[in-house]
Amino acid sequence: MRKEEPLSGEQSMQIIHQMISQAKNNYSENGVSWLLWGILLFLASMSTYIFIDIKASDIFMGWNIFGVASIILLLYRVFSKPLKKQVKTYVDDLMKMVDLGFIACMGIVILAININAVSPRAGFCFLLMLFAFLMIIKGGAIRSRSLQVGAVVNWLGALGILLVPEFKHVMLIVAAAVLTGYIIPGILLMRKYKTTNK
Amino acid sequence: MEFKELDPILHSQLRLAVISLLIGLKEAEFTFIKEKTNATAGNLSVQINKLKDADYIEVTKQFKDNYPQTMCRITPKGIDAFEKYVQALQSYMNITK
Repeated sequence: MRKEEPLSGEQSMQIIHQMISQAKNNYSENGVSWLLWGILLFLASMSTYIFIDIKASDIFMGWNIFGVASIILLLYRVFSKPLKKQVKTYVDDLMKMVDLGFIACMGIVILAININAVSPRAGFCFLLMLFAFLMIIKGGAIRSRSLQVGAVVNWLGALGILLVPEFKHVMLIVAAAVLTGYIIPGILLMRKYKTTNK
Repeated sequence: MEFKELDPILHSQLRLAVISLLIGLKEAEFTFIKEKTNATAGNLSVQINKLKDADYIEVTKQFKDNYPQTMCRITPKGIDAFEKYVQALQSYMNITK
């Protein structure tokens, strides 16, 4: 496209198609936040499983540490200088709203667990449902099959939480769900991002 | 079938590429458009000014991290012109088939 040339109808259509498809795939994820968040959730749930098993006095200590780490990471994300973006899409705006909605709902569920408004079992069931909701939306936006599979696993995990007899098994389900829904997709997204941004 | 005249502002290789790129985006930086259209900076700058003069796009110049940044976004008039161009193109292609 170096100089102006007379255009035929077919050429015009070709340019339109080519440029629209170039603009279409601009929403991407580097996978870091999925991986980091997944590891934190995995460690917290596994710590509770172990603490229940060894009959520790504070079985939720891992979740308290997770809470502090999450707040620090969230504040870092809010106050750190945003990466210079060459392009802004309507999907970017929509995803910010989805993130905001997710954080608000998750905050309410965590508060509900902490003030004993809902049992931890019900709370974790809600959380897995919320995780799945985020995964299915983002997975659809970035065409990530692993996130979509993760969403289904998290919904199944939410159902499983209602059926298992002991709370320590709830924690095992949460760990397995975040491994499938956050950690594995996070690694795959990181690899894809590195390959496409070489 | 009635033949609709093609908008001369859009009926140019580079200007059409710029508008087609911006139609699906909220806004894009000059360098992004340059990269996607494979145009030279000088030529792109000229064509962007023509689209701006026609009120088809808005151009915002700002500084980010001490570097100049030129952001472009399509206007409602530009969207309307693009839609009419595509309709006219379709009718033109139907006639020539």
